[in-house]
Amino acid sequence: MNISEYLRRNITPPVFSLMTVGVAINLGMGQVVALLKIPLYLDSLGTVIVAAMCGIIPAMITGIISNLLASAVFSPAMMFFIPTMLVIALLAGILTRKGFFLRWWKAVLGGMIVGVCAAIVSAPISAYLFGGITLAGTDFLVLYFRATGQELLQAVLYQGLASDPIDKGITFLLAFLILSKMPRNLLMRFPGYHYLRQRDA
Amino acid sequence: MIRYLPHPVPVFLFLVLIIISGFTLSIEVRFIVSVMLLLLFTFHIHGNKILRTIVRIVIPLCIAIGLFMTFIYPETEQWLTIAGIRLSRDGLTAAGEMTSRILLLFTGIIAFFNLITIQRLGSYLYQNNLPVWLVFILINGLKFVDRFKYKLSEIHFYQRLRGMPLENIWQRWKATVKILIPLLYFMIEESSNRAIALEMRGFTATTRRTTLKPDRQSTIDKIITILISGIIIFILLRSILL
Amino acid sequence: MIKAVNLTLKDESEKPVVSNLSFEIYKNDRIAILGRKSELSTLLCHALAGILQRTHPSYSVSGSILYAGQPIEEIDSHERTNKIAYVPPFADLLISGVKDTVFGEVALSLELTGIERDLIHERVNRILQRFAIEKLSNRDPDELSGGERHKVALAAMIVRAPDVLILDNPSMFLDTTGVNNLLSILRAYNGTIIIADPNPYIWAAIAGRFITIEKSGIVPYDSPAALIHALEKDAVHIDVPSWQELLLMLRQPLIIDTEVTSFRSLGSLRTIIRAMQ
Repeated sequence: MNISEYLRRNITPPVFSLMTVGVAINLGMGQVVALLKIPLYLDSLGTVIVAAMCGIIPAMITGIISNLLASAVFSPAMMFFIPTMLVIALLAGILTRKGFFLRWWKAVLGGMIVGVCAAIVSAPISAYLFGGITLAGTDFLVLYFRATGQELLQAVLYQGLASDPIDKGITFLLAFLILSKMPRNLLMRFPGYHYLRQRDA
Repeated sequence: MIRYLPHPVPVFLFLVLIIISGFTLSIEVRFIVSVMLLLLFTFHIHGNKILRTIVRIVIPLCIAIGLFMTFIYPETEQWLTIAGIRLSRDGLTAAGEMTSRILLLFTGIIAFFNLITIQRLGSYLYQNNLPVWLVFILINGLKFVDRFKYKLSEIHFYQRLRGMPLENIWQRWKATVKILIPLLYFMIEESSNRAIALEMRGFTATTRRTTLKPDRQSTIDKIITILISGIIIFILLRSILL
Repeated sequence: MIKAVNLTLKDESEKPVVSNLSFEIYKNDRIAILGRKSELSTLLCHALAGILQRTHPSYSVSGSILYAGQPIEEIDSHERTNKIAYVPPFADLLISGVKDTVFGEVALSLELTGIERDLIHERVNRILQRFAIEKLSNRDPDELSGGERHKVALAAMIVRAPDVLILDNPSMFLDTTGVNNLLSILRAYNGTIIIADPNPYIWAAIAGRFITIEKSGIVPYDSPAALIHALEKDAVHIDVPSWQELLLMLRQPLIIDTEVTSFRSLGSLRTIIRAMQ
């Protein structure tokens, strides 16, 4: 099956409509975080929700478009972190299929795994392009690790490993909460339904 | 004042050119090119917006990186002392490398998004028979963010009316859940209803689409397209051959 | 045209919501669905539009709905939406936002279905005129008022000239002027109309046949007279106006076999009531 045929079959109206909302959630979470003053990003929540409800490819497209639009409205730096978003989409999709959204602790665990991988992917980008500086609250961690004599790449990686698993763990927990609160009738409209509810009946 | 608003094709090529040159040119050339671009944009009709965004985003980032790299660079053994301040020589080079690249890349990207709007980009993709859902996501992504923010402030307002303490971290977490769950539920349910509406509008059509009017490049667009492609090929050839 | 054969719908807890419904909808019929609950009429609208299995996937369906002799859920989505248009209650959602002008937005469905450029211009212009929104044609749909957006959404649906138009609660966000506009558009519409709306002012002005969703089941009425007779006998247990009121609203000549073909005052109403007795 070629690509256009695959997309035509799988990107149905419910899926692309949800993808748009996924983009909006990714971009809008900055606002939520600022409003409630919580020290997290949560900017991949939309991607994770799409990955769980629709699958890997829709989540990847959601991630790419989110970061493109974010680089238009927030900071152009977002454009260079598309690979991180792709890894999150891929892993979130795989973990959903492995049943990681059936229990809350599994979701948190899955989020932490994704966080570690995201940190590993984004560290070289961040170190090479920006010297680890993103003008965010976590910069002081990079400074600290640098001051203790680590190499730049290592310092950035440690900073990522310190903050990303928590961020992604909470992202996954939030995604789990919203998915578990959703009525069956709504959830069944999306292709990922089978991985989100235990087949009891 | 330049009033020319280019076609998406030359702007896209411009972005490609900037990204390629950001990784190939030497530090000095990058600085010179960025300054030339900035000068060019001062005369453009959207120049104010472009320059303001650059001042707001790029300059603080460059300063932070510059300071960081020149003062804390532990691998180095060579230190320079200028006017009593100890600087790292390697750090200085790395700072120049990074700031010049960021200045050039960010100038290019900011200019890209100011020279063509998302709407224009979407309509170009639509004209060229890309899947209509892609255009839908691209154009509506930002519109839905506004909707998201509106709904967020609404729910936040009502939760505050009901008395929602925000002192310690546990209360904030509970507040986040109480606000986010209804918000996300609303957005997802609406998206599902919208899917029905879009199906009714013919978004599942498989026939080849017609367009209201053709999207053609003007002569200036064509000249600029050829010019930029020439430069891109030149830079690529140079970096391969040298 | 559309035919329901022994349609039974059961919800998640296996409770039958609709049981053993059979009826037929003919070409150019105007049918009103009058429900106890708006969810039920929405359900029936979705079933008739052939999208029930996707909007209510946890429901179990037996029996079938046929469009031109073919099970409606099996018709290709693109072909089906060309014939049957379902207008959801939130007409706002019908505006895709892909185009930045009203003209482009209305033309979008025609473009997507590959109709020729000249024909698109002609049809869109005609529909904009009929909705009296040709002045808006170069405006951005996002900048319009709610009523204007509703009109644009309806125009965008009708421009595809579907054979069947299913309106689910169209008056939800409409003011009096909006309702009057909607009525004049629907009266001039050339095709089958199925309307589910709690507002008697709307359905009484349009419909010639009725389907009532009652506790005991779904009852079809083939003419206004049949509905009025049932109301008179207190056989209808849903929230509809009394038969006298309804009679006033149904200003249609086909009500009963008297010489009186139209009436506007209480006096003429009395004449008709007397004639009916």
